[in-house]
Amino acid sequence: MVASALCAPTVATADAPARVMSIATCANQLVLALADHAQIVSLFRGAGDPRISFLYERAEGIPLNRGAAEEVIAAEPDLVFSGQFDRRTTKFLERFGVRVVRLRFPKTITQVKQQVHEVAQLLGHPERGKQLAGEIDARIDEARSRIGSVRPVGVVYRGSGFSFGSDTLVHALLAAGGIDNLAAKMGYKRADYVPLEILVAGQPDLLLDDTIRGPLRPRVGAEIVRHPAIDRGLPTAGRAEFPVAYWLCGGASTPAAITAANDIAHTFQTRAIQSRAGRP
Amino acid sequence: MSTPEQRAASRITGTRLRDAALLLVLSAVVIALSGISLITGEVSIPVTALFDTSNSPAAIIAQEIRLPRVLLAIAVGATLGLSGAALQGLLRNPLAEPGIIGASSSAALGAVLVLYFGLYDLFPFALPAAAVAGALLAIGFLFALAGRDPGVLTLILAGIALSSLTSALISLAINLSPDALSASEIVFWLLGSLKDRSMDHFYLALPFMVLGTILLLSSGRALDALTLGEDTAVSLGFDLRRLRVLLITGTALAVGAGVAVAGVIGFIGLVVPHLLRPLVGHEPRRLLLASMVGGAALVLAADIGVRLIPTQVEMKLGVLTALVGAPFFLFLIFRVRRTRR
Repeated sequence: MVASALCAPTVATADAPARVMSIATCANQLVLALADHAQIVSLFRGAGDPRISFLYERAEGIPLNRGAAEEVIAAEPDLVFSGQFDRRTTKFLERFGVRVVRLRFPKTITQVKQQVHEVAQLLGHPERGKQLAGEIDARIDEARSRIGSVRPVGVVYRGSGFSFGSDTLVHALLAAGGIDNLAAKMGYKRADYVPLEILVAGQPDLLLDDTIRGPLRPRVGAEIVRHPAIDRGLPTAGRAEFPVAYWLCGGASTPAAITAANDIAHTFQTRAIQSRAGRP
Repeated sequence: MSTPEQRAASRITGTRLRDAALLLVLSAVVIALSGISLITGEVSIPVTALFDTSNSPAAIIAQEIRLPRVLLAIAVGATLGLSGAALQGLLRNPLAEPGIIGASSSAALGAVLVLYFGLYDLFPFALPAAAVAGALLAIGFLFALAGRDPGVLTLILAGIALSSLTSALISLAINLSPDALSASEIVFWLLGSLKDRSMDHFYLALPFMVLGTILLLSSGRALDALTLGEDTAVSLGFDLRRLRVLLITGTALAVGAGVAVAGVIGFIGLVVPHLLRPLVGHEPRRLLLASMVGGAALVLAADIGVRLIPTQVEMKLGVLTALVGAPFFLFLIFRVRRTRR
């Protein structure tokens, strides 16, 4: 250990926890992005599911856990990352002397970067945190340079009418990419149910699909996205995919989400300019 | 000086007139509430938007979101009121109601299963069909368990047992659902709502509801005879087995179709017949039609209520009807206990 620390270019490796564990969906993403494969004892289940896990490919071969305290105690990791909703488990584990870091859902891109730095530091790889945060900044700048005067109004509208207001990461990512968030314009702050009539009255340019429901996963609320009021009321609204894995958590998905939102905004802008010029 | 025949005839004309007046008043209430429902919501729109042929947001909100809401409230309320009145007549039990006897939650289970396994996308009519089947099973089970003339306690206990079982199975579906969003969608069937429904839902449920309503309304005379006791009804020439099959099928069709598109909306079938019985007397046949119109009015009013009550998220319709209906139910149990002792 000591020898390798002396040879390694980074200073923090000597203190780096050898065995880390994640017991939450979003903790998975930061651990996958910033830890060494060999460092990871196990990840929370769903880490290999491409619909909700951006780095699902990297999770291959890593054992999964169900987020139970007893699994953590049995595995004896050096460091555990838990999620916003794991307050009780976190407290419980701390009583047993386990080192747990609870990661809240970031609501802004600044908070994403802070979390990235923090987790990278804890994992003993601060340089990876700097790199990822730098990547996020670079994508923000790139997106800004492509945003023109025509900013489309878009909305992430999920099955059963769920949407995201101004105090959410979704809003921050859309804004960075150059899309105005309809839910925020209509006064919503948090993630909330937004009635269909508000959507029709708001006349968004773009409906953003979370891509969580395919034909293989039919669900009750899937039908709201094909409600006749949307077809008739928003006939010109474009539909684009903005997958849930991009914006559910902060991490390696954040630069991809900014670029994805920006690509959608850019396509809309190009079309708007073309149609104004009279071309099809 | 009038003969007894003339007096009887004038009495019948009198009740007919009174019934007609009651139906007229209730219908006027339904029409007024429909208008209010059309203009109540997050976005304010004029009633005239209903006849707007353009594709303006107001026209679309009126025609594609609010109109189905009004029509479904009328249809669901009418069938629930009617089913409640019919079940109370058939079981000769003032506490009978589709929700209390477990028919509504069984219908909800049928609907949830169809959605859970993705059958709805392949074959939309599977949704009301499964809900109707669920309701049919529940009422059939109740009859098998409680017999023809169940006591108040047996009926309620059987209903509680059935509701607990079906709720547990729906909770299992929530429990096993892959993500929180799907879980919150299944909760819809347990709580009941008319929010963001479409005309497709109305057309999907309508044929079942119409058929159920015809079956229930056609049984009025037999229900009247049944108030005199089973033997008297039989001696008057009514086939009681046929009556039971008609009413069970009719209730299952009407309630099942409503639950399939609006979730469980409880206690309407209990409250409405009780409120109207003093006005029409104790003849089930006259109560049927009045309960139908009264049920429509009550659900319309409740659905306006959920939009006006200032809660963070819109209150679910089934929650509101239960909040009002359950205390009413308790009150009825006390009253029934007192009179039956």
